[in-house]
Amino acid sequence: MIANSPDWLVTLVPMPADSEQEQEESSLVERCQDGDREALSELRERNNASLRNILIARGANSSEAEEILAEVWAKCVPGGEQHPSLLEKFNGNCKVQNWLARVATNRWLDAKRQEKFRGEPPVTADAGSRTEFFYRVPATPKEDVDSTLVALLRDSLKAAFASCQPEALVLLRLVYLHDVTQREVMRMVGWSESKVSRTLSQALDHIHTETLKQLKQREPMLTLTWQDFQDLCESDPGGFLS
Amino acid sequence: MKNTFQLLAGFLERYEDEVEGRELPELTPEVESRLREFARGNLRGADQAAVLDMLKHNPQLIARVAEEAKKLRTDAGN
Repeated sequence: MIANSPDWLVTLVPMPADSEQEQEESSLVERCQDGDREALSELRERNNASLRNILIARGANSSEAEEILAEVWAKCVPGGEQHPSLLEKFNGNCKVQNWLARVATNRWLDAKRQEKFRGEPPVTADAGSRTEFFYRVPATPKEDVDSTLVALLRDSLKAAFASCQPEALVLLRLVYLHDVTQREVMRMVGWSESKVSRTLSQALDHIHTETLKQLKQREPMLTLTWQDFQDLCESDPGGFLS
Repeated sequence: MKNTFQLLAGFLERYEDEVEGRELPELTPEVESRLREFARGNLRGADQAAVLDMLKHNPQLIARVAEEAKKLRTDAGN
């Protein structure tokens, strides 16, 4: 009967592959959170190689990457009420691989900083000031899974925004956050439409370049592409630090 | 789907609020009037530059400017 119905009556749409994959991943993570060892092995098998490559691309050497990942997977094993699985902190708002990459990157950064400053700290030109070494070295990491990384991303991005020309930043906000059209902005500031468009485009490029430059200055060990940076901001849990 | 700027600004907003707190600057009648005039395209030169600088450092006020600009859509339609 369906086969004989007019086209407009029946439209069979297959479930999007992404959605099926997301559901499957969500179910796998839930099983891991429940302590299912087989599920955790499967999660590890699916993601370990990619995570290793991501860490290496971000600056870790291969033995550091392996050590960090071994720690991360060990933390994913729940150990009773006092030691829930690390995966309990995953809220599903991004792919689990992106989240694990974020956690592993943060862990690697913390480890490198502790290792780097095991001996006497270097004497710097800002000795005695609030920017001096001791005020900048992070405290012993608690169980915040990404506070080091979040601080780096935030401070780099904040500095990049601060370095934008006022008109550029205001225009970006008007157009991209408040849905004001470029034509309306053009009338507001008395510019040509092409000048408005050029300003927006150049401002975005500036933010991209300046953010990565700031990041490199703050943490030379870490190598992120612009896409990495955006993915990390996107995979931000939002509620982790509260 | 979020645009890039939305993503970045949203990220900053979450963490800036935690670090610095977010206090809305006092909206005096004079400030409101300047924002309105800016939105309507009536400011140029130093006046415009001053408003842009104020908006850069007080992004919470940009919503007011956007609101004013969008009102002009309705007014133009009448």
